[in-house]
Amino acid sequence: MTELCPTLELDEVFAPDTPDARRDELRAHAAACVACGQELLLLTAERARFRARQEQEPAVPAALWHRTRARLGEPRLIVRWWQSAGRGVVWALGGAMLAAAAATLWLSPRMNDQARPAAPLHARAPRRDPLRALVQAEELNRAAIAQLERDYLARSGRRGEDRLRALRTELANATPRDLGARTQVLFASSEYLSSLESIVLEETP
Amino acid sequence: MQSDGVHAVPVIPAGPVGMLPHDSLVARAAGGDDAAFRLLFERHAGPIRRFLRDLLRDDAAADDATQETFVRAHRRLHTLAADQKLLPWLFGIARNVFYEQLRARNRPRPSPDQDSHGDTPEHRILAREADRKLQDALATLSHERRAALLLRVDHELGYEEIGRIMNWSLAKVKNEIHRGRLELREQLSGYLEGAQ
Repeated sequence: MTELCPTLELDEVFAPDTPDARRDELRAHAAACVACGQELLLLTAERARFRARQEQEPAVPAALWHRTRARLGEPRLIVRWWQSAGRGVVWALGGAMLAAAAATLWLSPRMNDQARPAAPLHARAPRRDPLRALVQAEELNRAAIAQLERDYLARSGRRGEDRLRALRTELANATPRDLGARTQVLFASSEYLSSLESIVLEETP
Repeated sequence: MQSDGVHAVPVIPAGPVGMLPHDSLVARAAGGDDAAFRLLFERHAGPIRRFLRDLLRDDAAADDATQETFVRAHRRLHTLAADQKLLPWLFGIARNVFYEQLRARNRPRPSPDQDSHGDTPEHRILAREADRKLQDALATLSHERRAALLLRVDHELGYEEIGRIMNWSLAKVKNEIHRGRLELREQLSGYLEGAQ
C-alpha cells in the first residue's frame, strides 16, 4: 500500500451511487495491489456480516406505527437546555460563570479607582481585545475540562485515566504555536468537551 | 410550485399512495396525508430503528426513539428541501433524538438477547452469536464514530450525506469511518477473516 492507494475510498466499490467507471477503477487497483486487495477482502467480509444481520432483522411491530400515529398531532415539547445537558456540564458552566462574575467584581473597583479622564463617547463602546478574549475563552475551557475530568475520574478510576490520556494525546496533536493554531485548539477542545460530556453521561451509573 | 427549495404541497398526483413516486409521497405526507406518511414510516422505520438500537443498545429505548424521530419528521416534513433525500434527513433527526435520550437517561443498558428468525436451531444460535459479537464490537466505539460507521456500512449513505448528518468535514468523515473500521476489526480479529 502506498500513499497513492485509495485506502479510504475503497469501500466506494459497494456504495450504490458509485459510477461504474469508478468502481472498475477501484477494483482494478485492488487486483494489482496486494495490500488493497486484502483490504477489499476485509471490506467484503464486513459488508457480508452487516448484510447477514439485516436479513435477521425482525419486522417493525405494527404497534410502533400506532403509537407514533397517536402522537402525530401533539404539540411540541420544549426541553430547556439545562434539563437536557448533563450535570457535569451544568456544574462546569456554572462554576465558570461564577468565576467570571467574581473576577468582574474584583476588578471593577480597581478600575474605577484609576482616575482616568472621561473617554470620548465613541470610545466608550465596549471593545474586546481579541487576544484577551482568546485567553479568557481558553481559561474557561480549561476550567470546564478540569471539572468534567474530575467528575469522570471520580467515577471511572484507573480505566478512565487511560481513556483521558488517549483523548488528550489527540488534542495535543494540534500544536498551539500561533493564534490560528490556538483558535483551532479551542475548537478542538470544544469537541473534546463534547466527547468528555458524552463519556461522563454514558458511564454515570 | 415550490418556494425556497422547500417541499410545497400543490403538485400531488392523484391515485393510491402506494403507486406514487417517492417525491410525490413525501409531498403528500407533508401536506397532511396520513396514508402517505404511514407508507414513509413503513419504508424507513426499519433502518431508523436498527440505527437507534445500535446506538442505544436497548430495544425499548430504540422503539421510543424511532417513534420520536417520526413524530418530529412529521412536524418538520414541510422543511425538507426539494433536493434533500428523506432517509439521510431522518437519520439526522434520529441522531439528535439519540443524544437527547442519552442525556435523559443515565446509562445505555445492554440489549437483551433477541429471538432471531432462522431456519434451524443451529442457524439461530450461530446468527445470534454473530450478531452478539458484532454488537459488542460496535459498542466499543465512541458514539460519534459508531454512528458514522453504521451510516456508511450498514445504511450505505454517501460520505457527503454523513458529513451533513454529523456536521463534519468530508475529511473527518472518511477518517473517522476508517478508524472505526480498524477498531471494529481489532475487536473482531479472526472473525471477519473467517467470514470471507
